[in-house]
Amino acid sequence: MKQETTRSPVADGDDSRRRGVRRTVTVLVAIVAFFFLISFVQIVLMK
Amino acid sequence: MSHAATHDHHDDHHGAPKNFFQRWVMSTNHKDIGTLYLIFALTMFFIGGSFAMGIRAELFKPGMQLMQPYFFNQLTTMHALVMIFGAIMPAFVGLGNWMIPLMVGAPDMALPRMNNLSFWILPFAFILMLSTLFMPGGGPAGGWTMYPPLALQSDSLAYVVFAVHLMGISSIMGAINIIATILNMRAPGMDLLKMPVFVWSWLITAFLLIAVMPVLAGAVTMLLTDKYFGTNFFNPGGGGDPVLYQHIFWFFGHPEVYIMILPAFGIISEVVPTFARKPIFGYKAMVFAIACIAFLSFIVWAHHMFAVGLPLGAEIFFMYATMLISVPTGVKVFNWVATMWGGSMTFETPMLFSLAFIILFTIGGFSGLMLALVPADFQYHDTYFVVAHFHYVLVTGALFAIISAAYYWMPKWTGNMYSEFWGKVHFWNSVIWVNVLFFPQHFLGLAGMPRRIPDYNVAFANFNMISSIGGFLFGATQLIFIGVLIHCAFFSKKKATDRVWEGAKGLEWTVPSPAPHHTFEVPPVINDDELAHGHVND
Ligand code: HEM
Ligand SMILES: [Cu+2]
Repeated sequence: MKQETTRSPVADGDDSRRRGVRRTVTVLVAIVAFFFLISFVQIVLMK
Repeated sequence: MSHAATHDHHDDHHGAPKNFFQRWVMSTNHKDIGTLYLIFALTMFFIGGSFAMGIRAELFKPGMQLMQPYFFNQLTTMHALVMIFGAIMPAFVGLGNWMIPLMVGAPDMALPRMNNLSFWILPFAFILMLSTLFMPGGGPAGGWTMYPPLALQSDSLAYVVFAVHLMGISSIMGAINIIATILNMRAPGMDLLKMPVFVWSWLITAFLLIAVMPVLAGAVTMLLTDKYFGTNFFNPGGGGDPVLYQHIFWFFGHPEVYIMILPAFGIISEVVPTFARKPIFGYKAMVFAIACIAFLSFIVWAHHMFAVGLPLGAEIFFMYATMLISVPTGVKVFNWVATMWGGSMTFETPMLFSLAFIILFTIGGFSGLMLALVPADFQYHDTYFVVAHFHYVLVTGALFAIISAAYYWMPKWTGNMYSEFWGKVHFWNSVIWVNVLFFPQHFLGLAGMPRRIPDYNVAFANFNMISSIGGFLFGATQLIFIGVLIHCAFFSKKKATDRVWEGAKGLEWTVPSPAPHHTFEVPPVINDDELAHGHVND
């Protein structure tokens, strides 16, 4: 995944930054899914 | 989209695509997307404002004046939804888009194409939601909280639920982008604890968004399935429970109100040090206080439900937990005042709006504290006292901070100075009329006037008329803001310097004014003296 908006050597060359973004997004998406599902679980358990 | 970007590479100086469609619709540039968010928020602010004018016109006198009660209910519901999801939140996202990369020395947001999608979802979501007003059954009228069973009666429920889903997806993507940017794109040497407080406030806010927007999505999905797919999540007849909706909604709703105030805290923490010409007092305490408030915001939700009949233990727990928030909030107010103490202050328009924020937001905090007392809330709940409370924290709080930020960074965005004279006219009219508008609502609430009603007892006539007059004049005053913005962007002859404000510190002031299309393509070499908080660890 190439960041096309920038000509920055960091964005182009630096793999660790790209991997960092990917890892961050993966973790955050997992949190989102968790909270979405928990709202249903909560309801089902409580009623 | 790749065409737009390839095109960028050839354009050397400004770098912005010349083609209007490519530049704005296909944009992946954080500054352009920030501008789009801000223009969108301003538009929504005026649409939501026109609903408010309708509400205040109907309430000008007792008796039914202008509209059917059902339409009045649509106005209050739409006013809140438009202001919360269309005006305040996108304005903060726009400010974050513009300023976070500039403040941490990043060339752009971490995920520029997702950034484009986050923005462009919004106009469709709001067109969808607003279009329900023109449908035969009318728009949603059960309040922005959409409590069942009332909200389920609305014919437009499916449209509104889908619109809320879209807004939620947009916010979640925006939040992911902001976190990914702050955690991964900082220039070398920009340690987390050297970041501006505004960036910190957004980092924490983005985590709140990620945790609670999915919960809202879940809640409205259950509304939808209850209405159209035969489920009984909230239907007692089928073993469900409508109070559970309120728990889920406020588990989202209370953090949501902090989503609308934490970035405002960040803005005030930028503006006050600049115009006091002193570093902020207690930087680490400020960051820690924001984190504490964010944590506490998850364990206070039932203070919106004291009157539904919670177990006594729950009422007491939520009362004390809510009162606890005053501690970190008090720390912040104390530190802003301490920052000004002994500073050489000047009172340009951004500073005026920030000062008004500190005083008036605190009034809203105090009325919140009153509402947090269970026995008192039994009386105040669902009255105009609540309306007064949340407008002090949201209008003189969140909105004033956004206006302060707009004046503060406008010279950096446009390269021109705004008219200080008209800025001050805008400020003084705003601050006077907003109090004429909302202060009497405290008295109305204490006297027992319920919220969300188109007609009222003649006993409430005087304060309502005063409030409506304040409302019309506050609304009219905001047209001055439009004038100031247009003048600054297109007509002002006074060029801004790079630093703009004498006391301003931080990376965003090291780039030219107006900020070029691409900045920090090569990471800046961080000089701690240039940063507002470069020496916190010394
Ligand atoms: C100082 C801390 C605060 C306390 C102790 C507090 C307390 C409360 C309480 C107890 C209620 C429920 C009143 C009722 O319905 O009977 C309430 C309502 C509300 N508060 Fe606050 N609040 C605080 C700060 C804020 C902030 C910072 C915001 C937003 C920026 C905010 C926005 C709202 C809104 C929108 C409502 C009404 C929700 C509705 O029913 O439509 N509050 N507050
Ligand atoms: Cu609350």
